[in-house]
Amino acid sequence: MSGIGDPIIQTFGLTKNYRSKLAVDELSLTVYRGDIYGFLGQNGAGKSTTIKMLLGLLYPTKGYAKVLGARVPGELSKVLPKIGVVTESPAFYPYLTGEENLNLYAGLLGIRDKKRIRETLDKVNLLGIRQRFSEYSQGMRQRLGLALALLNDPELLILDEPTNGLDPQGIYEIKNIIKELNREGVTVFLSSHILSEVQEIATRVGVIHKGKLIAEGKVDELLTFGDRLTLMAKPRELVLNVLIGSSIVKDFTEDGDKFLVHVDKENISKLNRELVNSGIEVFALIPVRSTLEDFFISITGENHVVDRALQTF
Amino acid sequence: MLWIELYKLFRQKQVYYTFLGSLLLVVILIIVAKSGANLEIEVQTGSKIDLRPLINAYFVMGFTLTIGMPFLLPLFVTLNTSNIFTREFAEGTIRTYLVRIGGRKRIFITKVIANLIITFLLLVFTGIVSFSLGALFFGLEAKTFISPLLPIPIPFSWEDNFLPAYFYSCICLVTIACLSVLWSITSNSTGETLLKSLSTVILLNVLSNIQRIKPYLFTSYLDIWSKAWSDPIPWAELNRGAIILFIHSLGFVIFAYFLFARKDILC
Repeated sequence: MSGIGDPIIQTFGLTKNYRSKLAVDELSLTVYRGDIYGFLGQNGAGKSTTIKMLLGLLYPTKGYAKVLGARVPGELSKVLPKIGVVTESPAFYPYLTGEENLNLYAGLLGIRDKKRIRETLDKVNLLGIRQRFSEYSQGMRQRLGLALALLNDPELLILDEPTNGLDPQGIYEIKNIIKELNREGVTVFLSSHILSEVQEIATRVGVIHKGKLIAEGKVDELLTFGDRLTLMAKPRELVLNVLIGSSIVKDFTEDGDKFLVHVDKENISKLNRELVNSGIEVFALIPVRSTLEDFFISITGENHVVDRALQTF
Repeated sequence: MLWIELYKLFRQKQVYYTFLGSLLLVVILIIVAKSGANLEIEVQTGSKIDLRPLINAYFVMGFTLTIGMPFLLPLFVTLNTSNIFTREFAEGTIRTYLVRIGGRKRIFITKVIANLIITFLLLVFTGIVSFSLGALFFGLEAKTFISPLLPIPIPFSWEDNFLPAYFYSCICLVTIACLSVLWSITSNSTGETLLKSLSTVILLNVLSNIQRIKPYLFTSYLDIWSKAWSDPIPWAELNRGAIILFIHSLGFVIFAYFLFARKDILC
């Protein structure tokens, strides 16, 4: 599912000051029903502060937010039962086991079905573990946090660095759970600084930098095909001659049996002609799609070079 | 929600330490009384009276209050309050609680009620333990000596002396508990809450030596329970003190609520 529904999260000029430090600056973003929204930013960019404001843990200095139609924080408790949350470092009662912690919250949420609790624990591979929460590893803590978030079949899942401390297998499982939930109709708001993870599952992303939202849009739109090509052709010597001699090739690198060529988009067919006319057998000429990492660096670097196509907000 | 709050409270070993502390207080009192320590007091005539033959369960129960109320019981009450509020802030569990359950007012009220219940239980426990152990080691037999210098009247009156003493000491401890609620909202550790609460009581106690401001300080009324041993009992003074303490308790809780309602949860 992707960005096709009504707004689930909206912020309107959300601002947070910690004394003299501006943590979030006039942030206005929209998450639509069905999105997996990747909320990206470096550490300290303002991601967690934004999430805490969305959850009513922090009071905005200015602006406001709406979550599932409820104004935050005033009306938040009305919609909390429809929201699942995994915070950066999930906090549970250290003197209780994972199951006891979950039972406690299930009781508060009015969930009496013990089977449901066991199923949820099973889903995150924590069923049967008798350790107290204080003895849990970081990965187990994250998984218990996810179990609590899933306990009440949420409509909206807010995840703040959910793969924090997880091993590769754990990360893979969490990503699968997120994708599966989204297929079932759950909207996901996912904050992370691990861009490759987000690129794999997100449908829309917002980039926050120094408290400001500097880009927002669909992943497909943001990650357009750039001006780099993968060229597969032979014979190698002839290809090298053409690439070196061509006035339209800006630069190129050789990688095994292929070349990565930097050329303006409008000159791609011209390059193809030059290669063919030189008697070169061209097997493939594939435009390379930029990664979220490329995009992120391009807009958060010191010299903000924002591609026109990327400015979709 | 209240049951869950109490469940959480009684799953923390720190809570049992406060009950154990009360038990130890009684045990030490009994050891001192049994060990032949000097428990003589000088009466107005100048002659000395050995208290040991006068000690019975009621004496132990009353004397426990006399020894415990100035410092130890308020300390235990503050510790329990810290476990209810500050510990949740320090460990970040308040964040999970708020984002799962929501409604700061509901959470606050539940926690305050749990706090009052544990304060009441601690005092009841202290009373029962002191009476039971006192009965076990010294019996229940009423003694006949009456002296204004003794900490409790002998013979005693259960209804006129012991129940009012425990009732008014409960009001005093509730005030301490409410003060601790206020400080625990603004503290990041149990130690900080303890320090702030007990420092407030001690500093205000010192200030209460200034007669002009004494009537306005709640600490001036934290010993009203001891007047239940007076003969005759000054009920009007006791009730006035209780009302003033009640108003202060309410003030502390309301102020604490406003702080909690606007508090940024950073953990």
